Amino acid sequence: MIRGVLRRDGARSRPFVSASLAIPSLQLSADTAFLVDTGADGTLLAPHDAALLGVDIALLPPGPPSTGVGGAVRTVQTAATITLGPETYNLTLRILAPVTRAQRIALARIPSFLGRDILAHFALFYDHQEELVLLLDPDGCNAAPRPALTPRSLARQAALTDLQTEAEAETSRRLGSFLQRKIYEVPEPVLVDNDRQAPERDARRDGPATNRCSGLPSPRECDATELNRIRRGGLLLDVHSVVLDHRVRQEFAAHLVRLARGFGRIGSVDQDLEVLAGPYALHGGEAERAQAAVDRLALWIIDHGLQEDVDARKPCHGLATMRTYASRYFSAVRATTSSGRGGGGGSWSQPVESR
Amino acid sequence: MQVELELDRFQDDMAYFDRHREEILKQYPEKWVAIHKHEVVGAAKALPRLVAQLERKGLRGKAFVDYVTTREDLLIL
Repeated sequence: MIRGVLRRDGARSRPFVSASLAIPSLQLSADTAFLVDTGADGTLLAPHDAALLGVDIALLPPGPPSTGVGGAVRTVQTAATITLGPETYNLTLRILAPVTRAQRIALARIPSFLGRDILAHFALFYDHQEELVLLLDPDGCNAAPRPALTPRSLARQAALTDLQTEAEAETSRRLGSFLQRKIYEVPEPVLVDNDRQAPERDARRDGPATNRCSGLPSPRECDATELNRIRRGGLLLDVHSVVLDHRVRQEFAAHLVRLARGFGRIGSVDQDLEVLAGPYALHGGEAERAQAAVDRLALWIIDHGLQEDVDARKPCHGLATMRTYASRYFSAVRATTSSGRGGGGGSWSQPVESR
Repeated sequence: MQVELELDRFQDDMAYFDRHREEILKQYPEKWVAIHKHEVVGAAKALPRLVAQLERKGLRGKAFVDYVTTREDLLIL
């Protein structure tokens, strides 16, 4: 974990981290303060830091212009290494190379930026109120506590925990494990398995069959019976679609079907497609309503109310930004950005147009 | 480990500069100032002159350097 500082400059405060910067080709190195800038595509060295490092920009090849709020400024670039804490990272370092006098004046005090090319190695924790700036490496990120639930959620969770039986907890764990595995393995929801449809068709055509190994009714028989039962009841639902559907309440009807199907053929049939292998009568309770509230974060089935729904099929979706955090920082962000005029490309008010 | 200690010391000097900004501003208004181990080790109106001072003291690349001014810049990046 890299601990930065929140530097105060008058009424403003900015997150900085210290790093050791080296340019092997020029045999130069220096400790440098970098402004943590998640908006910067790449790490950028300011002119005064380049001067302190001793870089002769005339010796370096040109890089892409740095474009910011104030316009575009010429850069040069070179291979470099940056050491943050115990780790050293390679990067293509871009150095601001102002051309006009106006640009030199505008950029004289601009800090160096630590951009996303380096920040991508970390999870960034920034708390203005507590004056915390942390760059968490993967280990530190995994060890960090997750955001706390709201008081309302905690109260609901406590109430539901009392109602949850041990069997339901086991069901919850297994379902969670299955969902976590399946969501990332299956790119699109597989509603009906082809191998399963074939026996159903065969059953309708050929009638009941028996299981060769156990003598119990075969999947073919059960599925045909089940299909007929669904049709008689006028239910047109896919019993397996609920597996990949995070709207858990829709599972209630399917659960009844699965429960009825489970009696009398435990463990020997339907093994490949059954979500929770080996159901038995004591697991007959509809546990999903309770587990949804308790395990909703782990299961990606959180109900965001009026906010947009999370699509669990999308890989690598993260936890949605919590509204409370956004509100907490809103006033500070507004105060910082409401009257801005300077940027990475220079100063907006500079008299000569940037080139 | 040596690099980490150096970086801790550098960040500490940065924090020292921020804590004593007002005093430094009174002493060195509108100047580049270098801090090393909680001491002002150089100050100059022009950056190249400060760099030369640090070079002589063998502190180039080790001291924390910033410009002291009453002007507040608003950075929108």
